[in-house]
Amino acid sequence: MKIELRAVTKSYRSTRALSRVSLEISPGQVISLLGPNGAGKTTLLRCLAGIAAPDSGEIYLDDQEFRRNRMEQRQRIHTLPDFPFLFWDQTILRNLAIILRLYDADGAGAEGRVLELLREFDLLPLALRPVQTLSRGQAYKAGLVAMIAADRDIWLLDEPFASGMDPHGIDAFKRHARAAASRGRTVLYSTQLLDVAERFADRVCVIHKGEIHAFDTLDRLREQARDKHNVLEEMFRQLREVP
Amino acid sequence: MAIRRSPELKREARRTHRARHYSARPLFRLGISGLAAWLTWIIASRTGHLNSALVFIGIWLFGWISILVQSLAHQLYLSPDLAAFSLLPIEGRVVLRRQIEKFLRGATWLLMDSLAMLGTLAWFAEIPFPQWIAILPIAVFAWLSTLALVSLAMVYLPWLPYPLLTTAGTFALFVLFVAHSLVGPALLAGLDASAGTLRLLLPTAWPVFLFRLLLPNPSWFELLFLLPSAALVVTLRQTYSRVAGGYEFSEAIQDESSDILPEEETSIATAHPDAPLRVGLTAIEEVVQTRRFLAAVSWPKAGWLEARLWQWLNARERKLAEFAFPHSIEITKAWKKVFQHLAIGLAIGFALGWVNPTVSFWVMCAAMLLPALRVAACFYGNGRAFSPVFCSGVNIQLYAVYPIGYRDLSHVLFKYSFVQLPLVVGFLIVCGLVTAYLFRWQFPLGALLGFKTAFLLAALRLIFVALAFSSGTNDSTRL
Repeated sequence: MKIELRAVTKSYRSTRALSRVSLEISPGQVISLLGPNGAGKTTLLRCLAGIAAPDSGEIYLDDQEFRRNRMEQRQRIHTLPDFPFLFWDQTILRNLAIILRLYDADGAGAEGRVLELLREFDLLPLALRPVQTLSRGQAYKAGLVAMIAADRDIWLLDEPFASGMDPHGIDAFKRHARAAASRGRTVLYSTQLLDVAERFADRVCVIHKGEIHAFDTLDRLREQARDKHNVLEEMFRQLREVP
Repeated sequence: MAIRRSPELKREARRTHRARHYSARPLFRLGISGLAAWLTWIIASRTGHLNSALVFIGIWLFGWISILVQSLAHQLYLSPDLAAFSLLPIEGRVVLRRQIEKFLRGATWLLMDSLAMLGTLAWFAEIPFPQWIAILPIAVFAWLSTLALVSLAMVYLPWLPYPLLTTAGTFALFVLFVAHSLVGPALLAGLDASAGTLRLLLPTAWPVFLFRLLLPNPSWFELLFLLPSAALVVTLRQTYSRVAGGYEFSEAIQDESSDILPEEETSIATAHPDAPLRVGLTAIEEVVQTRRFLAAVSWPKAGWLEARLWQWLNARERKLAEFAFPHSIEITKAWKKVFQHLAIGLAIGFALGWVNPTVSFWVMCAAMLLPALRVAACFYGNGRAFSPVFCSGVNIQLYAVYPIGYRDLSHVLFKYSFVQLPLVVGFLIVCGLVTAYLFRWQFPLGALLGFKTAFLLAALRLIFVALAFSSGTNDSTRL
C-alpha cells in the first residue's frame, strides 16, 4: 500500500510537532523513522494511524485521501504504540481474539498462526494469564503477536526496540517484519538507536524538529556523507548544530 | 522544605509562579459558596426560623464529609506525587505533612462556605456589626469539627461506600434542582419540622448552633454543645498520630493470578487456596487449536435483554460490543436487582408509615434513590472503549488505536441503552407514582412526571456519550 504525505503540519499548542512533512513510501519496505527526542516521530506515526488529525496537509493511501472515519482504510493499518493498548485485566488469548475479530482476521488458519507466534515469542505458557500480570516486555510481545497475526498492509510501531523485549523477541520481530515487507507490507517503526536503524531498514527517514532531513536508503546516504562508516552518527551531529 | 529555607530558591519559586495558568475552578467553587449562602437566606426567610437555616448549614457541612473523605484518602494514599516521593530521600512524615497541607488547601473552601452561610444568617438576623467578628471563630470551629469527622471516617470507617454516597447526594441535588417547584415546599416543611431533632443528631450542627449566642437574649444552653464539638476537634490529633504511625511506603504486590480459560471467564479454583492454578501447555495449545479462544461471546445467553440486544446489533456492532464490554454485558440481572430493591424498600417504607410517617417518608425516598443510581449506571454504561491510556504526553482512548469510529461505537452504546428504555420508563413511572403518594399529588401527574423524566434521561444519553469521549482525551485537536 503506497503512503503519501503532502505538506502535513501538526502542532500541539505552541509546539510544532510536524512542519510541512512530505513523504512518499512505496509498499514492501521496512522504514526506520529516526530522530532525537521530541523530533516528531510519534506524531508522524499518530497522524498515519488516524489517532491525530493533521492541522493541514493530506495523507494518501494508494492515492485515496486518508480519513479517520474511513474504516476500510483504517482496517489496513495496525498501530502498536510504545505501550500496547490492551485490556489489562483480560488474558493474552482474549485480547488476541478481540483484536483479530476487529480486523476480520479471525478466519480459518488464525488459530495456527496464533499458536506458532505464541510459541515463537515465548508467550504460550502465559497465554491464559491477564496482561496486567506480565512484564512490560511480555505485554509488548502480546501486542506484537496481535499485529503479526492480523497482518495488515501497514505496520506502525513506536519504539519497538525500547519496549523491554528480550533479544529473542527482538530477533523474532525483525524476522517477521522482514517477511511482511517481502509480502508487500510496509513496516514503519520509530527509533533513536542508530545501529538498529543502520542494520534493520530498507530506508531511513531522519526527522528533526518536525522536518524531514533525509529519506533514503542507507547506501545513498553513505554516498553523500563524508564519514562513510558512521553516516547516521554524522547526520545526528549535524542535526544538533541546526538552530 | 528546601525552598522555604533558601531565599534564592524562594525567589526562583516566586518567579516561576508568576507565569501560572489560570483556571475557572476557584470561580466555580466561589459560586458554590454563593449558592450555599443564597439557600441559607431562602430557608431562613421562607420558614422564618433561624434554627432551620442553622440545621441546613449543619446538613451542608455533613454532606461534604463523604467528598472530603475521598479527597483525603486520595491525597494520602493514591496521589500520583507519592510515586515520585517514594524515589526521593524524603521521610514519610514530611510527605504526610505535605499531603495533608494540600488536602487542607482544598478543604479551605468549606470554611468559605461556613463563613458565607453564617454571614448571610447574621445579615438576615440583623446582628449588630461588631458582633459579626464572632462568626469567624464559629465558622472555624464548625470547619474543624467537620474535618475531625472526615478524619475519623477515613480512619475508622474506610469501608463505607463514599463514592456511592457522593453520587447519591449529587443525584438528589439534581432532582431537587429539576423538580424544586414540586418537592421544594414539602422538603422545606420537613426540614422546619425536624430541625429540633436534626440539631441533636448532626455533629456538624453542634458548633453551628453557637451562632444563637449572638442573638438578643441568648440561651446559654447552646454552650453545652461546645463540649462534644471540642471533643471532636481533639480527636484530630489522635487520628493524625494514627495515620502517621502507619504512613510508610510499601510496594504493592499483586497476588499471582490463576490461568483463565476462555469459556469460564473466571479464574480456575485451586485445591490449595494460596497456589494459583496453571493450565498445562498441552491444554493451552488445545484451547488455541480448537479455536475455543475465538468462540463467540456468551453474554447473549445471560438473559432476555441481552438476547434482544444481540439481535439488534449487526455483525460489525457485535464486534464493537465485544470490544467495549470485553468482560461481559449484564443487563437482565442488574434490572432484576433494581426492581427487587425498589419493591423491598417501598414495602419497608409503607410498613413504617404505620409507626412513624417521617421515617417512612425518608425510607421511601432512599428506596427510590438507591436503585435509581443502579439504573443510571446500567443505562449510561460506556464500557471500556473510552478508557484513557497515557501515551507520550497525550491521553489516547483505547478505541482510537484500533479501526473503530466514534460514530460506530456510539451506535453500539445507544442500542445498549435503548434496549433498556422500556424498563427505565417503567421504573420511573413507579417512582413518579410513589412521589405523588408522598407529596399528595394526583397520581396521573406523578406518572406523567416519571414518563417525562425517562425521556429526559434518554436524551441525556447522547450528551453523556459525547462527554465520555471528550473527558477521556487531553488532545483537544481531536474534539
